[in-house]
Amino acid sequence: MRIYHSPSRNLRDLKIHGPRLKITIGHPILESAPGQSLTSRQTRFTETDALIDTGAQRTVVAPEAVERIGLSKVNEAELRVVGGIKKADVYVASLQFPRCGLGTIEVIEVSCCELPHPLYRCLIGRDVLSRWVFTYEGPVGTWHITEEVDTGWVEPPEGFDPNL
Amino acid sequence: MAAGQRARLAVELEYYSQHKPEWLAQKTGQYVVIKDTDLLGFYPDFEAAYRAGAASYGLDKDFLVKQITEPEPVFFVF
Repeated sequence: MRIYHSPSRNLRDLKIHGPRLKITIGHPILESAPGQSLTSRQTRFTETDALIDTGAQRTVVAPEAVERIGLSKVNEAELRVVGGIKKADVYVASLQFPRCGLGTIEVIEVSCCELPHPLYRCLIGRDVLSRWVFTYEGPVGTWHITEEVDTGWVEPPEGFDPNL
Repeated sequence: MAAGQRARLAVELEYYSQHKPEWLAQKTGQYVVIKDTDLLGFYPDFEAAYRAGAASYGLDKDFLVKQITEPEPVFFVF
């Protein structure tokens, strides 16, 4: 199990700015794609500030981040935002959390949309939160994320006895 | 956009719209992968669909990965 605790700051910090973290957005990570190797393509990543947004059904990335990385488009979708519905391009990406120690998400759909907040170029939505336990501790101004880790447990074959 | 150049995935989305009615009967909820007018297949989740598409068409190519649903979803964001 991995646990990331936010830094402890004054109470107003969390109330004003919300829970945020540094993330690295990049091309999907597909080391096992047959006939492909990571060196045969331009793999680009960008680090950016992301806001954890429990109100966002999906993770959203600002257009400049998508263009900087050169992500591949996989779909289009409609997003309900303040003021109405917007048509958005959907890209495939990977998300890494190197400063938090959380597990990499190798393949995920991200919607591309102008974000209203000047500080954040990414909203971490409930598609990512569905992988974590997210605890918001408003009275003390902190939050933390707990993530289950695949322990790689190997079950011995049924009936196998090494003493036989 | 230059004359004659179509928006990214326009061909694939048109192909999807044409075939969606027949797919809804048998494939609702599955993810379809389409490149131009080539139907690669149907997959149980996005990641499996994308991996199959990347293996066939390449990692840096656009191709459509779309869940077959009726109606089309609208995602609440902010």
